Amino acid sequence: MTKEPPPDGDRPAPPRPETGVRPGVPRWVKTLGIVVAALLLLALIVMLASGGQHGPDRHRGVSHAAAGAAVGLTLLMGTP
Amino acid sequence: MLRRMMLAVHVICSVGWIGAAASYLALGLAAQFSQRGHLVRAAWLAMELTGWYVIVPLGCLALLTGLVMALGTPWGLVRHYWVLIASLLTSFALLILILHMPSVTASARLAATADDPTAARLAGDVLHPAVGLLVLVFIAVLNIYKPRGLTGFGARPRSRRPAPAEEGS
Repeated sequence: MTKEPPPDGDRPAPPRPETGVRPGVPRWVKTLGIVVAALLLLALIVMLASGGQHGPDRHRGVSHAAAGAAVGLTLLMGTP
Repeated sequence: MLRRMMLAVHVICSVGWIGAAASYLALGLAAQFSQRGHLVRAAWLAMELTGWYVIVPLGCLALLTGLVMALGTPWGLVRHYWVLIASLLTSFALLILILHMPSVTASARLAATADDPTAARLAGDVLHPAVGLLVLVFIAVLNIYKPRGLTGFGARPRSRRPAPAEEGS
């Protein structure tokens, strides 16, 4: 008869004896849930604040938009 | 033997994914902050190639081998919180990556055809790889520490395995 190998980090710990009580959600899972929910909310706010733009145009850069605005202003004001 | 091999592939792909994401982030930062058009163009072309040919395959392999490892070992896929959360986060990261890559291709094409001053004005790609890298590092930490906690499914007493005689009937 062979002995069971000692528990190590590569195998799950043996189950605890039945107590009839369901284990609750661990604290680290609750904390993680709150952090993930907060980050998702933050991402949503940032996306809404940026006008809902979420595509390749986003990479065109602020300076590109500024250049476009400058061209528009020049056309409106007229150039010498 | 097969389990060891699958574990080796899983670790190599997962750690490789982290390394490739870090390299991608360096390229994204270069594209964001450099004023040199040729460097921004090169960074975007490299980001597209790295993304499609290194990061996406590594991500797919990491998820696939992770699922096989979970289902083929006593850990299970939904028995332990850390396995479940790591699987969900990996799937989420891979989904966002695949949804994001067409936008990288579009930007790389734009950079390839733009002249130097226009290419220099292109923004980089920092947010996605930075958040992705944090998520991947967190998943790696979960895999190493394996924090305790059984899900409702894992806490249920396992049904008795059928005896060999019952299996054959």
